[in-house]
Amino acid sequence: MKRKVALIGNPNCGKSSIFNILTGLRQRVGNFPGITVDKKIGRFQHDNVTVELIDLPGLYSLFPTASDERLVVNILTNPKHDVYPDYIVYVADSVQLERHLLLATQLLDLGIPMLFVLNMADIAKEAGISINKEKLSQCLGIPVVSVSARDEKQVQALKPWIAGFQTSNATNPVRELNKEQYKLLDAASQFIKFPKQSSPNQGQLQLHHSKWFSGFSENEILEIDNIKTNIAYNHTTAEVEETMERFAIINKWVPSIVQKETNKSFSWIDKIDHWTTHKIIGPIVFFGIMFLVFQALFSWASYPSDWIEQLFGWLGSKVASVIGENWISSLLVDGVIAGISGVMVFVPQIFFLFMILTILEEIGYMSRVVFMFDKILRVFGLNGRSVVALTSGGACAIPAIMSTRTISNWKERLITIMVAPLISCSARIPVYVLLIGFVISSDSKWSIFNAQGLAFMGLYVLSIIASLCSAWVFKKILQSKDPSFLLIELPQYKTPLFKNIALTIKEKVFTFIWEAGKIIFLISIVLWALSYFGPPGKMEAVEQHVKTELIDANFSDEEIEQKVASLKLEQSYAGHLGKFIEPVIEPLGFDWKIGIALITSFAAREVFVGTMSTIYAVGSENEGKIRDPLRNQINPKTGQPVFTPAVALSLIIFYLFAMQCMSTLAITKRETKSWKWPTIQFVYMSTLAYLGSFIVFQLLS
Amino acid sequence: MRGLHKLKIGESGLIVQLLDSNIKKHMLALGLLPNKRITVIRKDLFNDCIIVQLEYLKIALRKIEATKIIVE
Repeated sequence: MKRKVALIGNPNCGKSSIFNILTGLRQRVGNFPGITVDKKIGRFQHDNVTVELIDLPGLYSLFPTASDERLVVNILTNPKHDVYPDYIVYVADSVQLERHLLLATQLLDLGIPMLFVLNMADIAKEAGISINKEKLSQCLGIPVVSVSARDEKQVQALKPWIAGFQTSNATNPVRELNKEQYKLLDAASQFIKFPKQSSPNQGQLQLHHSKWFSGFSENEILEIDNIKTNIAYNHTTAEVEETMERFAIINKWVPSIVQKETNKSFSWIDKIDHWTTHKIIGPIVFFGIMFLVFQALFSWASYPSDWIEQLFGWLGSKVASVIGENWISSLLVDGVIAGISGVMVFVPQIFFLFMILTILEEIGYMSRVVFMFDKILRVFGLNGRSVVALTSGGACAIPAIMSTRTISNWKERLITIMVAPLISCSARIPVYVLLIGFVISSDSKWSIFNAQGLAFMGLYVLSIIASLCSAWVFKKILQSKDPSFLLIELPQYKTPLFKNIALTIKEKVFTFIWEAGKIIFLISIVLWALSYFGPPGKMEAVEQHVKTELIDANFSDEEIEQKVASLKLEQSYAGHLGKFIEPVIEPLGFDWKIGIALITSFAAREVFVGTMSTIYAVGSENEGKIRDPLRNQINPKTGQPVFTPAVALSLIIFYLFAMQCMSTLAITKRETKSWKWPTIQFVYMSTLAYLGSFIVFQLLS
Repeated sequence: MRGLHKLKIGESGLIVQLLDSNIKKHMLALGLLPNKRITVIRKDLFNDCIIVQLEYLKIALRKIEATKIIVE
C-alpha cells in the first residue's frame, strides 16, 4: 500500500529535521515546473506501507505572499494536484504552540486528514511549559504525538503513527466560513465549475486565491474577478478577519492546553544575542566569522582542488600515452577530461562554503545577520540576506549564487544573483598577479605599504563598489509585484544536527555537478574544438612549416613543441576568432593574441595564464616566469612593446568586470530557471568590462 | 498610545491595534495580536531595524513596519 503524505509546518518548526531522519538518504530533490521551488520527496517503509513523504516549504498561514508558500497553498487547495496528499503530518513547536495553531486550524478546515506532531517537547519542558496533549487532541479532533526532533529514536517512533494513520471521516470544521466568505462562494457557485473540493473552505480558498490558483481557466479567472468586483469582496479584510476569528477560537483553547511556570526564560540565548546583534560588535563578529570562512576556503579547499587537478592531469597523460597523439586523444584529454576536471575542481569550495553556511543557518545565526545588514543593503535594492552571497562571492560566485535561495523576495534575490559575480573571485587572482607586475614593480612602496598589495586591495574595493552600483541600477530598472518587507522570526539558537548539514551539502554539491556540469562540459568541448581544428589546410601548413624551417634552426625538442602549439593555436578557429575580434578589442589596447586568451578564458578565467603561455610559446604556467617573455613581446604594427602598463591595467579592468565564467552562467540559468537572466548578466558585465577597459586604456595611452 | 517605533530599547507596551497595511496578515500570523505584551530589545546601527520580544519569540522588523503597530 502506498500513502502520499505532506509534511507541513511553520518555518523553524523542525520539520526538515524530522523529514531527514525519517527518510535519510532515500530522498530526492526535483523541481516543480515553472517555479524555483525545490520538490523534496522522500520515502520510508513501515510494515507493508510505503510512505511517500513530501517536505513542503514552511509557511505561517494559508494567506501567503512568497512564491514558495503559494505553492503549498496551491497543492493543498487543489485535489487534482499531482502531489495532493492523502493526509498531512503537521509539525508544531511546543514553545510557540499558540501561534502554530493558526495554520493547524486552517489546514483542518480544508478537510484533509491530519496528524499533529508536537515538536521540541524537551525544550518546552526546559522553558517551564507543559502541554496537555489529550486536551489539545480533543480541541482539534485529531491525534497528537509529541517528539523531540533532536532525538532520532523519538522521530523513528513516528513511523508507525504516520504509516498506520487511519483517515477518519471528516471532522467538523473548527471555524465556519463567515458571511463575506459565503457570499463569494454562493455567488461563484452559480457560474464556476469547481475543481473537485473536499470542503467549502477549500472551495472558498480556491476562489480567494483565484489570481494564482492553478485549477481555473483564464475565462474562469476573469469571471471570478467580475464576481469579486460585484460583491465588493475585499481580500485583505477577508484574510485579516479570518485570522482574527481563528485566534479568538485558539485563545479560548489555550488556557486549558498550555501551562506556563513563570520566570523561566532562555537567558543564555539572550546573552549571546546581546553580542551577535550588537550595533558595533555584531558586524565585527560577522566579518570575523567571514574572514575565517575565507581562510578555510582558501586553505582547506586548495588541497582537494589540487588533488582533483592532479588526478585529472594524471588521467589525461595516461589516456594520451595509451591512445597516442591524434584528435581522439586530444578530444578526450583537452576536451572531455579537462571539462570534467573544470567542474570537479569547484566541488571542494562549494563543499566547504556550504558546510559553514549550513552550520550558521542551522544554529540560527543567519537571521541575526539579516537584521544587522538589512538597512544598508536595502539602499542598493538588496536584502539583509544578500550579505552572505556577496561575501562568499569573494571566494567563488557559484556557491554565492546558490546561497541566494534564502532570499524570499524575488526581485532582491535576482539582483543579488546578477551582481554577485562582479565581486572578485579566487579565479581572478592568478590573472591579477600576472598583470599587476606590468603596472607596478614588486618593490615599489607607498609610504610603509607594499604598492602591489595596495593595488590588489584596490581591485577588490573596486569590485565591491561596482557590484553595489550595478545592484542600484537593477533596483531602478526591475519592476516587482512582491512587496519588500522584513518580518522575520529569530529562532532560538540550537546545536546543528549533523544529518541536516550532511544532506544539505550533498544536495548542493550534486545540484552543481549535474546542473552546471552539463553546460560546462558541453562548452569545454566546443572550446576544445575551436582551438584544435582550423580552416582546411592551415593546420597542415603549420606541420609543414615546422618540418622545413624549425628543424634546421637548432631548436631543442621542447622549444619546437612549444612553437608548434603556439602556431597551431594561431591557425585554429580560436585563433581566427581572435583575429576576427581584433578590430573590436584594439581600442582597449589588445591584440589578437590577447583576443584568443579572452575567448578561451570564457571557460574559466584562470585559463588566461595557460593560454598566454601557450600562445607566446613560453612553456611555463608560473605567473612570475612568463612575465619576462611577455615583457619582450613587440607589437608588429606599432613597434612598441605589447604589454605596456596601459594595456596591462586595461586587461585587469576587463577581467575585473567581465563575465568570463560559464559555470557561473550555468548556475544563474539553473537558479533563475531561464536563459534570460544569464544572457543579461553576460551582456551587462561584458559591456562594463569593455567600457572600463576602453576608458582606462584611452586615458593612459 | 504610540507607534512601536517610538519605544526605546528595553521599553515594552501592550499592542492596541495593527494599522492596515499589506503585511498586517503576516504580523497577525506571527502572533502580533492585540493585548499581547511586546518589548523592544534591539535596534540596529541606523535605528531602522528593530528586534522585539513577544513571549518566547523574537521578531526582527523594519521601522516602517513598526509604525503600523500601535502600543500603549
